[in-house]
Amino acid sequence: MSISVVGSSMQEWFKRYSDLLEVSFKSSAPIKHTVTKGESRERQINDALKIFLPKVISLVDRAVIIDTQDKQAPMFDGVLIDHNQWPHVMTLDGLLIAMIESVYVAIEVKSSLKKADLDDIFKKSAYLRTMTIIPSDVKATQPLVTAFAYECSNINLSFFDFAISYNEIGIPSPSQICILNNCLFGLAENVSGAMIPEHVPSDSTFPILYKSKSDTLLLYVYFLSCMVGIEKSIAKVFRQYSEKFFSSVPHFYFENEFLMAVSENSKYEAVRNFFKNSASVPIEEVYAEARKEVGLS
Amino acid sequence: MSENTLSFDKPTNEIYSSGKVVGITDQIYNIKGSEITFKDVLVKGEMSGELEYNGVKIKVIKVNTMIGLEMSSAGPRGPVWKGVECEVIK
Repeated sequence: MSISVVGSSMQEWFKRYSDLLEVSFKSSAPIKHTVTKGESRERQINDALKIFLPKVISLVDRAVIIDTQDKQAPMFDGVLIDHNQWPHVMTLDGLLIAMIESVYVAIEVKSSLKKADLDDIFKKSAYLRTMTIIPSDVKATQPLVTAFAYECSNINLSFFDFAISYNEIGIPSPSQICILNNCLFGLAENVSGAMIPEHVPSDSTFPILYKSKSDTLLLYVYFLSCMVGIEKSIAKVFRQYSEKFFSSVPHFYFENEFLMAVSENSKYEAVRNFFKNSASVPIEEVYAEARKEVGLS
Repeated sequence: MSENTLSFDKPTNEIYSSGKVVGITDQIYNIKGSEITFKDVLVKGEMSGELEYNGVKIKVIKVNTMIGLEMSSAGPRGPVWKGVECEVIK
């Protein structure tokens, strides 16, 4: 359950909804049939996002994404598509066939986030984001990938794994991973001395950990809305409903020299173990020790 | 670890007045302190009174040179103000 800290009304409503999602997640734990449990948890977050997100984009639970080379993307748990301007095909059992050009965001839902889950997210993202896309006047960019996890037993380790994977894979990487009532792994870039959240992976973006706690769902909905192309002025108004939160989101990132040192160094496992064995220690402290391990001050 | 401020507003080189762009600076300036001098501003509107630049309220207090039309390698541009001294309004 989230700790109650008084924020704006908007924040409070998102926090209460987050609590409902968490309770529902825990109450589905006794379901022994794994597929049923998984589907129930996917449907739940999709149903929530259908309420929160702008209606210019449709969230489809089951979609096969194809490209002009007849490649098919791996199945994602949710897909944000433009249903208004792009024609689609529907199979007889309700499965949507979507042209990749009509897809804005593909969403993967995980019950908990471990290394295997992260690897799966990155693998699916890399496949989708390297499929062929035909630019048009309406849209010219690859779909983005995000993930939603209900829980994570070691945020320090998972963020380290996310950052290392992003460093290795680069542009085909996912943009964000939301961990309910905890934090959000995202991307940012340095622009004229300011750190700006950025949802499109590029050579200038780097992984960032938003320590948003009980405001994580609010932040995730905000970012998803930006990813489907809401006007900047609308995004600004949305932020003003929770101005205090958006003006000072606690965050953390690994400096590039550290990520490069870990990748080049034979001490990857030793460094990873620092994060593996320090789940309850503030990540800044673990980072300080890990830097020494790779010879950085 | 370096302490960089997180901002959801991407810095731009636009100067605003009442929500409208009234000037474009030659580069993006990071305002620290109580004043800033823009080397070059392409004037697009009324630059008097309270202005906003990347979330900071400013006011023009002095302009070194005002040029009606400046010839550059990219063609004519103007009006252009050079050496625009501004104070930060709190």
